[in-house]
Amino acid sequence: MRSSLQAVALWGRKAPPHSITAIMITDDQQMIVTGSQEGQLCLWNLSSELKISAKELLFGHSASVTCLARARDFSKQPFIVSAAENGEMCVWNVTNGQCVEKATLPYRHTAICYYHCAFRMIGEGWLLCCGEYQDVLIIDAKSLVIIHTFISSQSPDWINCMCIVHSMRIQEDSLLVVSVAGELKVWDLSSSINSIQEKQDVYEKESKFLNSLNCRTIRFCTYTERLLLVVFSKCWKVYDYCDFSLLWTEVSGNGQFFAGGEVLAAHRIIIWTEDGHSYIYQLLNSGLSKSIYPADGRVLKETIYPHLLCSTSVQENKSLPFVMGYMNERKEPFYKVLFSGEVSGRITLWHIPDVPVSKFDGSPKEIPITTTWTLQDNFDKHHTMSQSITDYFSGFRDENGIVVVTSSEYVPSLDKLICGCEDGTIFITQALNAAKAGLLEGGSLLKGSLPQKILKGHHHSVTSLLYPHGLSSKLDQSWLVSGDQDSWVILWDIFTEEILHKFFLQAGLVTSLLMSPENFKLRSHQVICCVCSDHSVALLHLERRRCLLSARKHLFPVKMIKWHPIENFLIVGCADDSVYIWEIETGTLERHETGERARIILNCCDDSQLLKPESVLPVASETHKHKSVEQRSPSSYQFGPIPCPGLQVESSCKVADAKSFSGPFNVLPVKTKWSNIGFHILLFDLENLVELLLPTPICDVDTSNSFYGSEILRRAKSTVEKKTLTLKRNKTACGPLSVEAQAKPVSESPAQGENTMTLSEENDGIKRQKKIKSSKKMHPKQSRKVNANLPIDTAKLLLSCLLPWGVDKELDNLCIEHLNILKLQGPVSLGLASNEDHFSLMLPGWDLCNAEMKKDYSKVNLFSRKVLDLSNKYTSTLPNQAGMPRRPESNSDSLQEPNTIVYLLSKLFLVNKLVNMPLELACGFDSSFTMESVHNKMKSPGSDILNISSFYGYLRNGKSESHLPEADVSLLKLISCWKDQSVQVTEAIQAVLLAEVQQHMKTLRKTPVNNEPVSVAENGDYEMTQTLPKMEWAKEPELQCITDTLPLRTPVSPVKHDSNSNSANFQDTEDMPDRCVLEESENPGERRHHLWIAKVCSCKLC
Amino acid sequence: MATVVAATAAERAVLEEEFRWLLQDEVHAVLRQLQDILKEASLRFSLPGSGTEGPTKQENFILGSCGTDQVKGVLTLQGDALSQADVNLKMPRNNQLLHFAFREDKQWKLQQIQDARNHVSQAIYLLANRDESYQFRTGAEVLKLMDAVMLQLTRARNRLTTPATLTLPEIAASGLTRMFAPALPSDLLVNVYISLNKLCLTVYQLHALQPNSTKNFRTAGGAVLHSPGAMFEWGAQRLEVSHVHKVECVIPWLNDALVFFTVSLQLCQQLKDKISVFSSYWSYRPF
Repeated sequence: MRSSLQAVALWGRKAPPHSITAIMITDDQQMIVTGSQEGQLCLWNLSSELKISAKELLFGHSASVTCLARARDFSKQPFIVSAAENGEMCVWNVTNGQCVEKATLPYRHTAICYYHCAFRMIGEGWLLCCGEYQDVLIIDAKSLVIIHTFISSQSPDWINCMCIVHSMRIQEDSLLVVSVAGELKVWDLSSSINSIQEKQDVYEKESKFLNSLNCRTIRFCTYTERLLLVVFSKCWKVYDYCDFSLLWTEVSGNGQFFAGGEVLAAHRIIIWTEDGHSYIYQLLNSGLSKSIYPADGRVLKETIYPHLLCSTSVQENKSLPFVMGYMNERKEPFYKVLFSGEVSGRITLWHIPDVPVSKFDGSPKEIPITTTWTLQDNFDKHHTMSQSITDYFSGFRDENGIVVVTSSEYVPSLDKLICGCEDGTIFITQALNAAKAGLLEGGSLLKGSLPQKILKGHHHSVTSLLYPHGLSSKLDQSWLVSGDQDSWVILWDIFTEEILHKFFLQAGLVTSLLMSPENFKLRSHQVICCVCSDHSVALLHLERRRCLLSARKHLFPVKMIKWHPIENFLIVGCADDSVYIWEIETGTLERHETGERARIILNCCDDSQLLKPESVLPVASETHKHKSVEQRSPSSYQFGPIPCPGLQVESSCKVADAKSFSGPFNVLPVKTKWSNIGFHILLFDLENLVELLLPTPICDVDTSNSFYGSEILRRAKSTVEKKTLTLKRNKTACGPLSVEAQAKPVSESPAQGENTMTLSEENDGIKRQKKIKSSKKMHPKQSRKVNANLPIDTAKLLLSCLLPWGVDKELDNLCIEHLNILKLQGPVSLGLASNEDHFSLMLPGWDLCNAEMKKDYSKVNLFSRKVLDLSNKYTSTLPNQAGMPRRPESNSDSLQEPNTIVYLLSKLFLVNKLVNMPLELACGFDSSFTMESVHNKMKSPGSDILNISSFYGYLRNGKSESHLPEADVSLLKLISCWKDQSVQVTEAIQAVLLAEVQQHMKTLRKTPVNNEPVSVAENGDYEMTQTLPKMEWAKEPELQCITDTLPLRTPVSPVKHDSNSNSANFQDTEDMPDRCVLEESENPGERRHHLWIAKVCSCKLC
Repeated sequence: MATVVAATAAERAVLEEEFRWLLQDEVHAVLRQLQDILKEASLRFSLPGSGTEGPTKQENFILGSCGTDQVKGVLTLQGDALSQADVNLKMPRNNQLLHFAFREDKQWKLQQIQDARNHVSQAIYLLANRDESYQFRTGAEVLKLMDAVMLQLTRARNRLTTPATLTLPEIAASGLTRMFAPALPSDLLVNVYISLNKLCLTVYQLHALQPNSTKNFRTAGGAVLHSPGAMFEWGAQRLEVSHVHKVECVIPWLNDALVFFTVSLQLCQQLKDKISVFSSYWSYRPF
C-alpha cells in the first residue's frame, strides 16, 4: 500500500476469523493485544470497568503469530513487538496501529522478553528471544538487528521459556531460561551488557537439570526473592532460587496439561491449563527453616506445600488450546486480571480478588468470569457499521435474506464488481455505486435501481473468478471465467450474459484460476490454468474451447505454477517441496523431483505464478494478482526456502511490491484463511485522484517531459498504424480510466527487455488512439459516461468517508447541498497503511473505544476528540491571509462543486504527504524555509529530498502571488509540527478537511446564492487555475527526482505524467457538457476562458 | 428445480452424518496412527527422558568414499552429539599420513539432528493433548491442527535434507576446528553435516595466495560443498582451496526417521483432503 492510499473496509456481517495464539495486556492496561493464527493482530480496548471492545485489526504477518511482547518502556513509547511462524518480526505502535519497524530473520521465536537498563545501555534496549534455535538471541529493539547471542557451554539446545529476574538484594539482573531438554540455565544480564556490546562470548553462570520435559513457564517470586515457580506441561515445581533445590512438585491430574503460571503475591501462585482452567494456591510453610537443616533435600522438601484456594473455569464451549496471561497491577482502579484467549477468538477476563480466599469449609471457591467478548460480538453490536458491499443483493433474495458471496473480483477498467455466490449465481454491478449503497445515507435508495447483471449457470457455490482481459489486454473484453465447487468451469460473455462454454474438470472444487503469462503462447494463445482441490491442475484453451491438459499426479496441494515458454512445459511446485514437470502438448509427466533438485528447478525459472489458495496477507495476494500483469519482472519475486542455518522459511512468499494498484479507485476482495468469510476493502489513491481531476494544460512545462512525451507519441503513432487490425477487435469503449490502468503498471515495472518496452508503448498508443477515435462513435454511451464521472464520484465518496459528520448540523446540510455529497450511515472503518505490506483496519465499533466519546451519538465518524482542536488551530492560522486563493470561488454551483472537491482533495494529499514525511525532514523544514531557495535542482538523490523539493516547488510558485507564502508556510509548519505531537494521519486529514470545509461553507452562508457578473467568475477561475498548476508544479521536481535516482525509470515516469494530464484534460472537456446540463448558457463561454487562461498562465510559469 | 432442492437436502443429510463420523471417529484414528509413527521416529533420535534413561548409546560410523582412500574418518555419534572423531588424511603430494582426533573432554552437537528431534517432539506435543476425549467441532479446527503438525514435520525433514550453506570463513571460525587434540594445521578445514540419511565429513586443504599473485581474487559465497579453487580471506591472508575430500556414511536410523516423516506428512495431507471434501458444508454452519 502506498501512503497516498486511503482505505475503507466494508466488513459485512461476519467477523473475520481470529484464532488467538498470543495475548497480552499493555502496560497502561487500556488495551489487549492478540495475535492470531491467521497472521493478524487485533487491538482491543479495555475500559476501566473491564469491558472489552475490539478496535482495530493489524495486517502485516503472512503466517501465524507466535508471540507478543512489549518493545519499549511503555510509558514513553507504546510499542509492542510481534513475531510470526515464518521469522517475520514487527514493532507496532499500538495507539495508532502503525508498523514502526519490521524484519524477517531466519529464526522462529516462541518467547520474547524486553530488557532495558537505562544507565548502562545505549539505544532503546534489547529483545531477548528464544525459540526453535539454540540459546538466546539478543535483538536490538529499535532496528530489529541481531546484536549477539547468549551461548551455553553445556549442552546447547532450544530454549522453551525464560524470565528476567531483577533482584534488589544482589543488585544484579539475571536471565533464567529452561531448555527443551529441561535444563535450567542462568546468565548474568546487567553485568554482561558491556561484553555483549563488545561482542564477546557470554556463557551461562549456572545450569541445572530439572528432570522434566516441556517447560511452559518460569517465574521468579519478587515478593520473597526466594521462590522460583517452574511450570511443565505435566507438573509444576517450586525451587529455592538460592541453590535451586526442589521444594515441591505438583503433578497434574485427569489428563490436564499445564500451560503457565504466575506469582500472585508472597507464597501465592496461580497456575493455568491448556483447556482454560486456573487454580490459585497458597504455598504453606511448614515452619522448618532452611538454616537449621542445611543442604538436606528431604527436609527441605517439606518446607512448602500448596493449598488450593480458588479456581476459575470457562463454559463448555471450549476449543483447545487457550493462551492465558495474568496482569498483576492495574492502576486506578486496582484490579488483578487473569485473561485468556481462545482459538475460537474469544477473550475472557477474570477479576482476581486482592486476597483470594477459599470457602468457609476450606473447599476451593470458584471465581466467576468478569467479561467475555469476541470479534463477532463487535459486529453484532455495531450493525450499521459492518455494512457490506454486497448487502443490497439481498433485495433479490426472499427466503434467507443473506447471500453469501464466496468469491469476488474487481475489474478496474469497467468499474465492475463481480461476485460469485454460494447458490451459484454471479452478480455483476457497478462497484462504486454498490459501495455508495453500502455506506451512505440515501444510498439505500440506489439499491433497487442499480444496474446489475445476474449470470445463472452454476449449481453450486462459485469458488473462483477470473477476468482474463484484466491480465492481458489482448483477450476479449467480454470474457469471464468462473469455477465452482462441483468442478465446472464456465466461460461467459458478460455483456450478453451468455454462456460461451462449459468445461467439466471432474477434479473437485476449483480453488483458483490463473492465466499463463503473456510471453507464454500455445498456438498463439494464452491458456487458463485451473487448480482444483484434489491437487490437480487443468489447462484450458479458451479460443478453442478445449481442455488441453489435466495433470493429476500431485499428492500435495499445488503451491506454485511455472511456465517454460520455450519447451512448453508446465512446472508445478507442491506443498511438500516436490516438483512435477508436465509436457503440455502431450500431457505426459516429464519429470518428478524432490528435495534440493526440486528447489533448483523452481528457482531457475523466472516466470512464475505464486499460488496461495488461502491467502494470509490480503494485500500481498492482491499485489500478486496485479503482479501477474507484469510478470516480466522476475526480480521482485522471492522464493521460499532459502536454506539457512537457523530455520527454513517455508512459505515466505512475500511479494514486496505495492505499486501494482492502479487507478484512483479499487475494490480489494479479501478472503481469510480456513474459512469462507470475506470482506472488501475500498482503496482510494489520493494522488492519482488529484492527478486525474486536475485540469492541467496540455503544453508541457518540462523540456524533458515534452521530449519524452513527443517521443512516445511518435512511437505510438507508428505502432498504431501497424496495429489497426487488433484495434478492430476491441469493440467496447474504454474510458480514460483504463488508459490509466494500462499505463501505470507497465510504466512502473522496471528491468524489462527492449521488446517488452515497445510492447507497452504499443499498448499505450493503441489505447490512446482508440480512445480518441472511439469517443464519438462508441456504442454504449452510458458506460462512457460512467467512466468519465468516475473520478469525481470517487472523490465524493472519499470525502463522505473522511468527513466528520454531525459536528455541525448546518455544515452537514451545506455539504450535502453544495458539495453534493451524501452523509454516512454510520462511522466507516478507515484503514491506515504504514508501508507496503503493513496496514491497519478499524473494526466496527472503533468509535466507541475512546472513553470520552461514548455518550456522543450525534457525531458520526469523528476519529477522535483531538480532531476538533486541531481543526480549530488550523482555522485560526487560516484567516491571516486574504483568503481568496485558498477558497476557489466562482459563482455557479456546478463549476464550483468539482473545483472545490479537487481543491479539498489536493489539500488532503498535501497533508497526507506532510504527516507521512520522515521526521528529520520535518525538523529541518523550518530552517530551510528561511533560505532563499532558487536552486530547485536538488542534486543529492534520495526519496527524502523528493519531499523537500516538492515543497520548494510549491513555495516558489506561490511567491508569484503576493500574499500566499507566509500563510502557506505557517500552515505547513503547523501540520509538520502536528507530526511531532504524534498526531495520527487520519486525525490530521480529518481536521484539515473539517477546517477547510467550514471555511469554505462560511462564505456560502454569507452569500447563499451568488450570481455575480462573469468577470468575477473569470477571476475566480483564474485563481483556480493558478492554484492548480501550482499543485502540479509541486509534483514536477518530484518526478525529476525520480528520474535522477532511478535511471531505469527515466523513460517511464514522464509517460505517466503525460498520460495523466492528457487523460484528465481530455476527460474534462469531454465531460463538461454532459454533467452541467443546467448551466448551459454560461458554460461554453467559461469553458473557453478557462482553457485559454490556463494556457496563458502555464506559459507564464514556463 | 424443486426436485433438485429435495435431492440436495437428502444428500446434505447424508453428508452431514458422514462428516460427523469423520470428526468423531476417523480423525482420532488418524491422530493415533500419527502419534504412533512419530513416537517411533522420536525413538530413533533417542530422546532423553522418553523411557530410555541413562547415557545414550554410542554408535561408530566409518566414513569413506568409493573413489579414493585419501581421507578416512571414524565418527562416534551419541544421540545428537559427536563424542569422538578420528580423521586420517593422506597428503596427496608426499603421501604423508596425518591423524587428528577430538579432545577427550569435548562433544560436538550436530545441530541438524537436534533441530529435527526437537521438531518431532513439538509435533508429538501438539497431538498429545487431543486424545479421544477431545471433541473436534469444526473441520477448520482439524485443518489448523494438521497445518501446525505438518509445519513441524516439514521443518524436521528439511533440517535433515538441506544442510546449512556456509562460507569458508564461517567454517574456519566454527568451533569444530577447535575440537581437535593436536590442533588442526592452518591449511586444513573440516566440516561435518547431515545430508539426507548420510553423515558427511569434508576436509578442505588450503594454500595461501601470494599477495602479488595475478590471480583474480573472488571471495566464494556460501555452499554446502566448496569446490577446489574457491577463495576466501581469513585473518590477513588470502587462501584458496586446493583439494576437497568428502567422505560419508549412511546412518540407518536417520533413514528410518525420514521415511516416518514422509509417511506421516502424507497421512496429515490425506486427513486434510478428507476434511476438505466437506468444506462447503461446514463453513457456514457451526457443527
